[in-house]
Amino acid sequence: MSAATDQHPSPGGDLLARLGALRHPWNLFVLDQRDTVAEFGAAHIDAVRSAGGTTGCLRVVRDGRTGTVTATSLADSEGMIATAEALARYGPPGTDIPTDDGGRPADATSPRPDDAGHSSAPPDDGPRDLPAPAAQVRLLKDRLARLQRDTKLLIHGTATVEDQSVQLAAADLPYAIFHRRVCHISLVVESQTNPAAQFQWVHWGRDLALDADAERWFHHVSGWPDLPERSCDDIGSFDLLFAPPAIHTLLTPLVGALSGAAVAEGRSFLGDRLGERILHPGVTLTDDLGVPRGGRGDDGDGWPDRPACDDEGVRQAPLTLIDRGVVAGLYHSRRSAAQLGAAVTGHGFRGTALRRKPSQPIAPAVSHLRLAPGSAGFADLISGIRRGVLIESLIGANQHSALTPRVEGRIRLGFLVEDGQVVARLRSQPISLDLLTVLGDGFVATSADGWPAGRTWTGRLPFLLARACPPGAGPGE
Amino acid sequence: MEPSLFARAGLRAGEYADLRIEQARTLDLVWRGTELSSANAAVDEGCCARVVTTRGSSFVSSTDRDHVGALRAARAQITLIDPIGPCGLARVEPVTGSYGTEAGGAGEEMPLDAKIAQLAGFATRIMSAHPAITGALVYYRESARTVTVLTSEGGHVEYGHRDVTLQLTAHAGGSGSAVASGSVSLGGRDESVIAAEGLPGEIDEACRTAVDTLTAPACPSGPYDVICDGSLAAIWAHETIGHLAEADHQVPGVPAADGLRSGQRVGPPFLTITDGGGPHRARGHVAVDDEGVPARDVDLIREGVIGGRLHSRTTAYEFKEDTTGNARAVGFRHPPLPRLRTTWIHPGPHHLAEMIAGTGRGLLAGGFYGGQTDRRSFAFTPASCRLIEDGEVKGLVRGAVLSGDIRGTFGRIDRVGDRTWGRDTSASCGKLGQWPLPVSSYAPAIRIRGLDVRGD
Repeated sequence: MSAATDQHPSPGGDLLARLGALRHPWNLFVLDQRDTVAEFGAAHIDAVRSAGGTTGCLRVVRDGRTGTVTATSLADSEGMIATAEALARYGPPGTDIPTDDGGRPADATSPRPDDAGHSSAPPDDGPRDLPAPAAQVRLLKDRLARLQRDTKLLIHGTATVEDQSVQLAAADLPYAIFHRRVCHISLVVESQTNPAAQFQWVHWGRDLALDADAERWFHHVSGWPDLPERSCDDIGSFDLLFAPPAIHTLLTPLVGALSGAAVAEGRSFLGDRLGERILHPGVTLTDDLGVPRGGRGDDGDGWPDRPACDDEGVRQAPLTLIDRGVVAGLYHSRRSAAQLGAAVTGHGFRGTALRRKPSQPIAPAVSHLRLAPGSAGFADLISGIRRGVLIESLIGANQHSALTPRVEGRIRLGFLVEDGQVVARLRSQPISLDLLTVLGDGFVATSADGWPAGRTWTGRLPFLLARACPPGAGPGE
Repeated sequence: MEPSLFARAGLRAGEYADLRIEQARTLDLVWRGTELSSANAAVDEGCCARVVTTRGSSFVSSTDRDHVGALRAARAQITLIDPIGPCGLARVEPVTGSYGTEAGGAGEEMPLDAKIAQLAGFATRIMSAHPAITGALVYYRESARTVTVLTSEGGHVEYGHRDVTLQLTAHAGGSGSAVASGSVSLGGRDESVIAAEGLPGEIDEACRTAVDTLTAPACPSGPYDVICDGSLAAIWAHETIGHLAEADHQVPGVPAADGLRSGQRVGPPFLTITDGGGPHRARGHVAVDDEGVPARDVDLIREGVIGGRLHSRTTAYEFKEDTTGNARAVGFRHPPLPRLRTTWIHPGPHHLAEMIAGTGRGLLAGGFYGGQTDRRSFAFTPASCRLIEDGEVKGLVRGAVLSGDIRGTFGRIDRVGDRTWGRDTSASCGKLGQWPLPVSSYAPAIRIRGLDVRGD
């Protein structure tokens, strides 16, 4: 177990002392965040903002009920505990802090002290010597300027460097602290001659880096915004190639439906279809948690380090959600696992796994979703399309959350493909899709390349090619 | 205090700085089914400093109470910015004063146990309304925020803002089958939201909508003449012309998205849409914004013609226009941006009954379930939709998504109702990660000809 450091002191000694004297279960989550955000306009840094702060979330269980209080100052320890206990008079059942007869957490995946009193969680090596955010931002700016010059596209967006320290303490768990750096880039890349054609790109990693696949993509598409604009009246008869941002939109209802909380509360269209084949055997969806600390995967710079456990102290492990088209698993918080009588999976977070929000209640959230990639690059997939539409992104398509597999909205940016060539920009138009069809009978292939997309959930996503479906069977009208 | 504060931070002549100090207390209660699934109280305190020089703008926020330190850090950070052009702020007369500092504390007017009992009763009412009701979601949030803004120009304003929202949703169906929902959305400045007269009846109506929609036929896709009730029209105005008018979405000297420009006719002469400080009771009420600038009304569309922009001091400087008092931040962790406040469509000359009678094939769309816009197009899902055939309202249809390009839609509005729906909902605004920002949107019913509708 890491000792508290001067940079990241353990949460108020007075608070821990008072909590230690309580006779009922409690847990404390403290997030210290320091971030720097640079805003880019045409690859120039227009503005800079930074934020620093500590927020603590205390949860107590009293007489079987939970009360939670969040505060930016831990100094008023007596007040925090009193507020949490007052809310616990009415709060939800405390099913998410299970204990065995000995009053210790019954879940074997939680970090436990060894004989020396150290946590059995992977050792945390404390805050690493990381490059200053300003230096990373300047490096990124140079690369964006070069990309902008080479492609003649305009690049706007934000770059964020966030240093997080998550501190966990509970009645029966030793104090633990995890540090990591999360870097995020969100870009809008537009044509100088046709600003309506805006491509999206997102990066998550341990440093600010332009993904090689993304650079290749922007070089590939640099001439597309100048193509003539055409409509597509019979999109149901066209093959569809979804770029990562569009795939993210398409998968969002499925990701929501695989949440243990959604299933437990009757708001998942998957219902009780665990073990059932619902998609093409070529579709496998896994939360592989990203690259572990110290390693580098095939993502280039690597995903942000993953903590040893989730925000409930449950150890994390990779989880297959869809296995060759079969619903293989759900991702759980302690509460949703208890509601369904299932094993915990280490997916209980406040906010998302990457961007914590202490004020939000614990809910199941995925860390790094991967849709199994294929063998061909996106350029090869395009060249194999006789008549199709490349959908870069969708808008307004996730209004029903996990209640339905239908995705209805508009194509925000799309291109017509004929005989393997992108020949026109698609005029913005509505579209209605059934993801079970697109990823089921309509599925053809995924690309070998891809990049992250999204903020509410994320992961490295490939391009996906789906064949045209006859009328009445979707996708399309 | 203020002069020494900025001097101690090292501010030089020609540089501007402001300091915003905030405290917010929030209570969130969530029911799923009949169970209270989350009860969370929060106290959020901190400050933020902004420094603006000719080089650019820098912003620092912190939960620490070192105000001078925050100002110094913001000033030091400026060196990261690429100086590509003059940067500045529109001139304003420094304002001092207190504006409604009666923020009070969350929950202090109605005892917590009474509040919880009332809300739990709503959840139980939903779950017991009909055998087909399979789920209930009740979201209650109340917040009380106190803000102090100090500027290096001598400005010093304080204001308080209370905000209460309640969203009740009934789900019918589920467990792998189709799911339909009905909802009630309320908002206001105090807990009277919970005790609103007629609320039990509205809950019952939402449950009926959920159950009836479950078995309703799918809405056939195609073009429709759509009558949007006041609540949906209000959201439409906010999401379309409202966001388009935010000046940071435009570039000086360049026509806005879709070529909209001030003075251009886009709609009928009876269409006027305004954004302003709003009545004191409104969630989106703003007396003075987060730069200390007093709010004033701005006509976004006036008698069918594109009007003014909504500004922060930064954008007002860029466009060489007057400030409007639209610079708002959702909390101390964020810089102020041009944001909407209270937006309303002025009542027109048409009766709702006449609109319906004059519609051959259409939809009567009510409420707002969800939607998205990218300032060129929009896609909205109404909370409920009924077919109109030969001037008569028929049964519910499900799965309708209204979409279109924003610019073209203004010109298709051919009726504006004469009675304004003026109630706040729980809908809050999000922009660049700043959510939830309390806003208000009021409107009469409007009719839009030939709107594209995607069905289930």
